[in-house]
Parts: sequence; C-alpha cells; structure tokens
Amino acid sequence: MPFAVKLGEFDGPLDLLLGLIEARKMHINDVSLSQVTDDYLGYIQKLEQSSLGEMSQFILVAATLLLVKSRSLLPNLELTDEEEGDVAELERRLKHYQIFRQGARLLARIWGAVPLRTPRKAPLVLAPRFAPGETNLAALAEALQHIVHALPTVIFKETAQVAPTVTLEEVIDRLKDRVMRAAKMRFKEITKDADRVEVVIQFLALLELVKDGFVSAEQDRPFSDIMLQSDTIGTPRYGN
Amino acid sequence: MGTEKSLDNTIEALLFAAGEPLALDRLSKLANASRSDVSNALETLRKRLAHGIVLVRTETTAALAVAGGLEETVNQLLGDPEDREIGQAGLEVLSILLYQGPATRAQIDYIRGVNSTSSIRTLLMRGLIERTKGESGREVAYQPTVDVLTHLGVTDTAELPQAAELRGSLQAFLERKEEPQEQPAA
Repeated sequence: MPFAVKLGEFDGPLDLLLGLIEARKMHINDVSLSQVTDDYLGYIQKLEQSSLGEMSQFILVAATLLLVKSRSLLPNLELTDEEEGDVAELERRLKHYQIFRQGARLLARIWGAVPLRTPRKAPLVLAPRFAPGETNLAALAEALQHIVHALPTVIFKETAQVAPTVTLEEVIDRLKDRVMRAAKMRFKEITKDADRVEVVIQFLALLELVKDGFVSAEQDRPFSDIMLQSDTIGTPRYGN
Repeated sequence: MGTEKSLDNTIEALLFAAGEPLALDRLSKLANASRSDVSNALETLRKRLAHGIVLVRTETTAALAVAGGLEETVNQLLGDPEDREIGQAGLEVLSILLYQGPATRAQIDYIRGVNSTSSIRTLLMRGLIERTKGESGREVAYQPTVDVLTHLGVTDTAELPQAAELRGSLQAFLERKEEPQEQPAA
C-alpha cells in the first residue's frame, strides 16, 4: 500500500485526510477526496479501540467520503442537497484547516528560535522621594539642633596605675634563696616591711617550699613566729 | 529635570516600571487617556524605540522587551528561558489564534476537526494564550499573549512568517462563504 499510515499518527479525521491528500501532492477537491477514501477507511478500521467520541468524528467524515467516492464511480448518482452540502462543507473545512496547518509549520520554524526577553522584575525607580511641603528654615534649624544633641560625646575614662605585683613563683625563688643562704631565719624577719598581701604571698611561698622539701618550718604555738631552716638534703620533712 | 509628559512617554515609563505586560485598559486608566489614544501612542512609542528595547503588543496588552539579536547577552544575565515545547496540536491552536484572531473552543475544535481542550489547557497554563470575551460577550474566547509573541521573536502578529499571505488567503476563503453556525458533535 503506497500510503500506509501508522496508528495514532493522526490527530482527528481532518488531520488524517489532509495528510493523505498532501502525501499525494494533490489539491483539495472531489478527485483527491475520492482517491484517498480507501486509505481513509483502511485507517479507521484499525482505530476500533479508540474512544467512541473520537470514532464518531472519523465515521462522520467517512460517510461523506463514501458519497464522494460513489458519485465518482456512478456518474448517474444524484446527491440530495443535504449530501451536496456535506461534501462542500468537508472541502471547505479541509481548506480552512490547511491554512492553519501551514501556519503551524511556519510557527514551528521560529518557535523559541530567537525569543525576545521581557524584564524579569520591575526595575528600580531611580528618583528618590522628597516631600519638602512642610519644611521651612526654622524646622531645619530645629532638626539640626536635635542632631547636634544626639551626637555622641567623647568620654575620657580615668586610668588607674596598678602597682607591679609580685608573683608567687618570684617570692618562692627569693625565699628559697634567702633561707638557703641564712640556713635558719624567722618568718617575722622576712615579712618585716611587707604589707598584708605580701605577707600572705610570703606564707604561701613558705608552704610551697615546705611541701617541696626545701625548707622545714617550726612554730611553737598558734600565731607565734615561724622558724625556717634550709633542708639541703632535699627530702621532704613536714612539720619537724 | 523633567520630561515632557506626553502620552507615549507616560506609557513608556509605566511599561518600564511594571516590568511585565500591561493590559491596554490598565494603561488607559493609569494615563487617563482613551483606548484609541493609548493605541496611537503605542505606535508612536514603537517607532521611537529602535535600539535595545522593543515594544511588543497584542490587541489588548503591551510590554517592553529586549530587542532580537541581544538575547544571548541578556540570557547570560537572566539564564536561558524555559523550554516550552507544545507539540503539533498546540502549534495548530496557536496558528488559528495568531493568524485568524480570537476564537472560542468550539470554533477551534471545528476548524481542527478534533477536540482541543487539552491543548488549550496546556497553552493557558504556560501563559501562551489567555481568556477573553467572545463576540457575543457571553462566551469565552482565547487570544495569544504577549508572552507567545516574545517566544516567537516577533513584536506584533503582523511580523509572523507569511502573515500577509496567510491572512490574505484566509480573508478570501472566509469571504466566499459565511462561517457555518453548525458545530461538531462533542
């Protein structure tokens, strides 16, 4: 069959008919319609599974095609006015549709090929908004004063001189040194000129030295003076 | 600083600031001018804009767009436009609306000889066509949008390929016999 059609290839009876006629490079008229009738009928026979609505459209056109075909085969066949009208109407619809199919082909060629871009979002309005209606010189002066009052003032902070502090490590070293050299000395003697904080540090240093076994300390009774003695052997001797 | 407040200047500013298509009715209200004055001013604007920006318009809507030939550079800024494949059926519906003008669903169905409901829905969803009032004012008709024109790269339906030719044959065809009132069975 020279004009075999594939199922589902055509979108409706007019599409099918035009496809068949254009495949033969023919114009739309009685001759071309009667020539494609057999192919058309062959196609709709394979269309059985399609929906009834779609089918009825195909069959309606098939009926008209059979009229055309019959007339071409039987020159004596007289068609009624209604039948003549159906044939004319089918040709008319095909010609009308053909124009838009041509249009669709032309559209397909330029479809999305060189699209124009529309702005994606509204651009900025450049002019700043300024409403000077209620402004006068006095109001501007007052506004300026408010600004001046609101200006941050520079605050000078008092800086305190902090006396260099003695670290426990320093005191430990010094105390160890003195006790080593003097071999034996009294705590009151070491802290003679020291203030309260220094006495505390000296005492902590003393405890540290006793713990490490460099010095042994002796106190007769609570709050009495403490005797320090260097312990050069280096073994810890707590208390006595 | 101040620009002459002519109608075409006003419309240009409105379209620029909107950044999207504006209905001619809306422009008419905003610019406080009649529809025909707006329409004339749009033509003045179209002739005046001949550089990086073009005016795109349908019967009812107008928008500014980047002129053809510059889209590659602009795409670097905005990214590629979305793919809008619509198939043969969709193209045929567009062909009817673009070359012949607004049509109802029944008219489209009759011309194509097949139900076009799903094609119309797809085109509506993609913003390629829009609803409008039919001739009687009661029925819903469809017309192409500014968006579909920009996608086709034209600023007016008159710029479509073979527009004059196809419209001529349509005109000749329709004059031969009045459109029949008969509609196809659903």
